Amino acid sequence: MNRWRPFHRIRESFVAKISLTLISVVLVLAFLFDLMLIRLQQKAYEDENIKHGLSLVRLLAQSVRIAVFSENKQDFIMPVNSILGHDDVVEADIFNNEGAMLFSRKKQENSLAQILDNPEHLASIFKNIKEAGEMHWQTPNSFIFWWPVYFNTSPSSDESLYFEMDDEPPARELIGYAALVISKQSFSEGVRNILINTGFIVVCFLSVGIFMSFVVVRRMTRPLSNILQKVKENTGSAGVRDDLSLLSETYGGMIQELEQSFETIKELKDGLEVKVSERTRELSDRQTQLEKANLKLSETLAKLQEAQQQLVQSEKMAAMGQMVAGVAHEINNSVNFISGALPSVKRLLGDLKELLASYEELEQMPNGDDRGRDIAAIQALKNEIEFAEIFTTFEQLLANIDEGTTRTTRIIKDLKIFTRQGAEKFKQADIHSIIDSSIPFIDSKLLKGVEIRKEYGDIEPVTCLAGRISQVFLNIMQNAVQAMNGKGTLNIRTWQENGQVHISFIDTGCGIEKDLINRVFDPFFTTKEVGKGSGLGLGISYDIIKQHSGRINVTSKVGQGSVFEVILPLSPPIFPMTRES
Amino acid sequence: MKKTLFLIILILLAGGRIALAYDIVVVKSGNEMPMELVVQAFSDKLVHLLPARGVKSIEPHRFREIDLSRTPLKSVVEQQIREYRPDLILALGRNALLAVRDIGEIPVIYLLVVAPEIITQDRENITGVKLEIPGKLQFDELSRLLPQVRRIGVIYNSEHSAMEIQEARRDRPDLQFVSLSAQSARGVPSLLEELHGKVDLIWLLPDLIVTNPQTLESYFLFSFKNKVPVLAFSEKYLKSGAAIVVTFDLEAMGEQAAAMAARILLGTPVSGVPPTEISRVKTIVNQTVSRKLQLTVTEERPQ
Repeated sequence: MNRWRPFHRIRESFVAKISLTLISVVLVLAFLFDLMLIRLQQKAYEDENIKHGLSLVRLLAQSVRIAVFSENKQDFIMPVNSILGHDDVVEADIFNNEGAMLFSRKKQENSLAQILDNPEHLASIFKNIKEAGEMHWQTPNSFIFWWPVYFNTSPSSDESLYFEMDDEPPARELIGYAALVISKQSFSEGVRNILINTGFIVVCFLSVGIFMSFVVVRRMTRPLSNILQKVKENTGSAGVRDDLSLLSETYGGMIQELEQSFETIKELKDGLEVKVSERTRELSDRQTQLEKANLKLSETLAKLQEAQQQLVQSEKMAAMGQMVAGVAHEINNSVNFISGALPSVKRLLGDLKELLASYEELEQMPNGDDRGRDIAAIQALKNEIEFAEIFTTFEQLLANIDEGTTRTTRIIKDLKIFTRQGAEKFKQADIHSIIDSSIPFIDSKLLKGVEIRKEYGDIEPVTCLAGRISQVFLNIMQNAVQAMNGKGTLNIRTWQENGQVHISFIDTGCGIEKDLINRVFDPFFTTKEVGKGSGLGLGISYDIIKQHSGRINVTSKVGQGSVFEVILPLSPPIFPMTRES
Repeated sequence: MKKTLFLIILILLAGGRIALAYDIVVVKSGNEMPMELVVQAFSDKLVHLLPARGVKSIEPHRFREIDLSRTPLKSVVEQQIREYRPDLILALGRNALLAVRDIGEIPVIYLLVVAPEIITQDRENITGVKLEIPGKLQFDELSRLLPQVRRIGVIYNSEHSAMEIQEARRDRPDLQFVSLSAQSARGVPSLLEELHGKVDLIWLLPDLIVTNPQTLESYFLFSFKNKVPVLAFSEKYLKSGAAIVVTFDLEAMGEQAAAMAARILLGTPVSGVPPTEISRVKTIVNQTVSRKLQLTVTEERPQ
């Protein structure tokens, strides 16, 4: 049983089947190709020999023309011997045009004996040569070639003796026949060599072809072999089955499984639709809830915005209150000049009225002693009222009133600048003037122990909303003064650098903790006590500076003070639209 | 004043020599012969001999051509010539002479015609220059070039060319002529073999029996095999293998014919101007053949 095992395995193997089929095809094709190749080469070789033979017999016919013409046997010897010098040429025969043999020479037994002995056959050959121009055939041992012998016989005239007569057509006359017999010995050897060479080539081709077929089939069927191997591993090696049966069964099983899978998928699909419907409904509920939550959030946001508005309003009110307090203090100071001078003015006016009344009485009085007494009384009154100083005093009082009026006027002017923000437009403004006009609005109580130093540099006018910038400066200075808690120095420096104006406010206050520096511009952020600040001042300031395409830098050290540096371009890149504040 | 001047001119013109211009018809057999050279030499010489110039000449000699390759009919040629009424006819080649043979009233001069006497048959208005090269001229040239040659082999036909052999023997008794008579061309190769070792040179004769396409190969084969040069009478044999050619000079023939024409046109009867042989020959040596035959040529006349 084991003896037949390899053949059994080949019968089972799909690869072996393909290889065997391919090799069989190659073998058959090679055999046919070999036959065809041998036949073609043999034919070509035969044709070549015939051509060679015809050339030789033609050469012979050409060489013996004069000999045939003169029928001089001596003239045949040299051309015939020359042709017989070829190895395979075994016989040469020359005939005249009447069929009589003029010359014959041979190396071996007469091959043309049968023909030469049969005059009728010979006559028919000559006839065929006349018609066909040449004749050849072959016997088992030799090739036989015939060629006519022609001689030029152009019609001759007396003139043709002296001149080339182009108009006379060349003519020729058949004067005999040449026959040549060529042995087939070399030809047979050549054919044998062709067989051997071709056979060798075909065997080589077969060897390479079979090997290549095997390699190609093996390589091309490797994926299939792997699949078969896996199939066998999965199905187990029980039972002897060939590869194709195994594949067929596996494929059938796969189709069955696929059908089952499709059934399952269909069932799952049906269930999935129900689940999707449920999920959709749940999502719809969730969306409704979200919409409600969103509504609540919107309401809360509205409330927050309202609260923010209230806070902003509170900040405004606080700022206004602060400002009003400052204004009131200033106006009070100014009014004090006036109100302080008024009683003195009234008193001096009363003294002057009394003095003038005494002079009027003196004018109406007649001259006498009383008159002298009255003059003394007037003099006494003058001394009493310090008449000599009265106008000086009066002038001083008027100067105080004037000072009070001037201060009030200035306060009103500053207030106008400060409050005309809404209608303000971008225009060039002197930063120093804005700073100076903002300082008076700082809480005067806090300013008592604070020294303000101004180090103004040489800067160009800045295109800005002067009122808003003033608000920013006031905010920063107000914060600085508050941080110094009534004692310290506020240093204000300005300089210009790279087309930007820098305004630096350096205070010696309590400073800001490092963690809080990043939050100072956040809305509602404040370190002040409850009720003292809304936390919106620096936020608003930040927005205003942003509106001017500028920035605010803050550096601070706790216990040493803070530096707020406002940087403004000389001209904002694009003028923002003036907005109602 | 004008009348006096006119009379003076007339008197002067009357004193000048008469210079007539002649009408000459040239009849060509075809284009295969070197006729242009002959006609050119004829016309140049004729103008020189009979100048159609001078105070009384109105026009030069007029040459009209009739080419038989385009006008092959004899009657048409005759009619055309009679319409032209020429003073002279120049017939070039055998066919041309045949075409004009029967025009008796106009003088005819022939050129390039082999054996013209057969055609002319003693017609009194026809004369010309014979094409045959005299044997004496040939052998004089031969002796000049190959003085060592003494034995001359020649194949002849007793009916056609026996005369040439006799004349040669008469003219050049110093030479030995080995002559063999051939009755047909087929016998020539065998006769040539008989000449082997007996001759220093083969003399080709203008005889179609012994000199034709069938026999020429035999001559030159014999020449090469036995290193015997061939003396031929036409340039056409040079390429076949002739070592020396002594042939007619076309220019000289044209001039000879012009001299005859001048005499006839000036009034000499045609019978008084008999046919002549060529007076000058041209000799050509085939250098390649001479080298192969190991000939020592002493002198070659420039062509």
